[in-house]
Amino acid sequence: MSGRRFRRAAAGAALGLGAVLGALAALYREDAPIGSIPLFAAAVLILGELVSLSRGPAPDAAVERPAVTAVVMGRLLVAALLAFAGATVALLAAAVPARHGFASGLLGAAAAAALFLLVAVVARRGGEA
Amino acid sequence: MTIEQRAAVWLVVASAGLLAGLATAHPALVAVGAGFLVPLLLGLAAPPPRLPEATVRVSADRVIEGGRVELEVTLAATDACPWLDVELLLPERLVVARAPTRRVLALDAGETRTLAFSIKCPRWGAFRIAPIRLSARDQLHLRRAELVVEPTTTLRVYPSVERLRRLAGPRATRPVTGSRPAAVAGEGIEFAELRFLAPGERARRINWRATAARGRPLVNDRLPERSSDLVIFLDALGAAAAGAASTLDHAVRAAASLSEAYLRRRDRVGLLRFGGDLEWIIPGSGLRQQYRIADAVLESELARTYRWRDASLIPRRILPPKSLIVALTPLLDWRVTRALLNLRRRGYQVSIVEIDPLPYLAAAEAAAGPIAWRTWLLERDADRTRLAGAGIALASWGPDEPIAAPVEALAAAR
Repeated sequence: MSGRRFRRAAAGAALGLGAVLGALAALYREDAPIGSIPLFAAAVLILGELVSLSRGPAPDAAVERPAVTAVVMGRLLVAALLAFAGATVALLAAAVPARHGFASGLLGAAAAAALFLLVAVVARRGGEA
Repeated sequence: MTIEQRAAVWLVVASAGLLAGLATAHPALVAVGAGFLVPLLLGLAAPPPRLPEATVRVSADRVIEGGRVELEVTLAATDACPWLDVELLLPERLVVARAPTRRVLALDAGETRTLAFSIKCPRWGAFRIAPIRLSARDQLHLRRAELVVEPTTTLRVYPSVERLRRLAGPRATRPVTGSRPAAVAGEGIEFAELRFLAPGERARRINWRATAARGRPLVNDRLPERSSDLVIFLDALGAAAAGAASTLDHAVRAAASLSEAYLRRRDRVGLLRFGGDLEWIIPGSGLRQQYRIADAVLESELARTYRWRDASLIPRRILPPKSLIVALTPLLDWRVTRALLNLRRRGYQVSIVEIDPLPYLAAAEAAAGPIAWRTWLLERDADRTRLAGAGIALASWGPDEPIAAPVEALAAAR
């Protein structure tokens, strides 16, 4: 498969998924069930990945089939499953009333860690520039 | 090892979701944030991508213009590599036939793959081939390892040589045996003239048929076979180019053909490259000299310089007395014209193969306008007249003509 074809396929899939997500959002608006949130998170992540892949390999490159399979399995499927699992665990943690305070603490710690990581990344990039 | 930009994007989305969820007490936002945070953390915790070991093998390091070399890249992976981008960074003048220069492949742990590239060499030159850029990514493409495998082979693409039958010869020859009839009579094979027998001459030189016809003893005078000196003057100061082709290309091919032809006739040939730096090869003979000249012309690149260039800079020892200087030039730089006139005044026999630059200057003609263009053409004509007036033979060479055409014109103009 050529790089150009790979990009087109990724862009086409991204457009299709984006259209489906947009249609679902327009249909359900406020009525979306809470159980669909993990699916939504995984779908948004896949959408981002497809957009990234549509700008991925050089158009004149030859992309071999095992590499395409590895991308589909690794970058899309595994990442989506992890996103789904993470979102599900977060929802379950938030849904347990007895552990509400504990869950909030965990959430705050995770948010603080993520914020710290973000600042560190930004500072590193600024230092390199 | 580089972390991809996507990792930062995921981090931004994750932290924004978590913070927004914390601020609004909305679990959906937290779930979305966690959906990005979990793959990010697991992806960064996974083993980093490892590049395979790469070895490059080139089938030949010397090839004639228009030929091909086969290049093989062997990749030996110790760890699995789900995405490996292999890019062959070829110099501009080399092109890969058939296969693309960039390939994306996946390697299993312990797998060895060999990628073959067939490289066409359409133009002369010396190239370091070939840097290969390897870029490996991990499973989630969050980290990237890159390496450029530096080249170890210098590929020399020699200019194609055209066989020349008739060559312009210098008026004087060296007292060394060659294959060119000398200007003065002596012991040789080539017949020169008949003359009357002088006392003390050998009887075997008598031409009995002429003696019988004239009634007086006549002897054959013969010309000894001698070699001569030739210096090729390669103008690298100015060149006209259109796309990939340029007058310098033709000059280099002509230099290769001329040196081959003269050396085949056992003459001594030297090279003088008149460019940004003045470079020369002292005249010599034989196959080794031919390779020496071929290697030297490969490094000819157009040198745009404003430094003063004059024939006074040329060392005397590289220009043997009474040698023939054949200049290969488009006559675009006044310093070249001046140097050639100077050499002529020093007593050298100078011939010019003028590589016609006009076919390459269509854009310049349109940009200059008709009056400036005609003025420039008139100035060129004036330069040619000055050169001819100084006793320099000049033959014009178009891009589609064989080099034999101007060389034979110079031989006839002798």
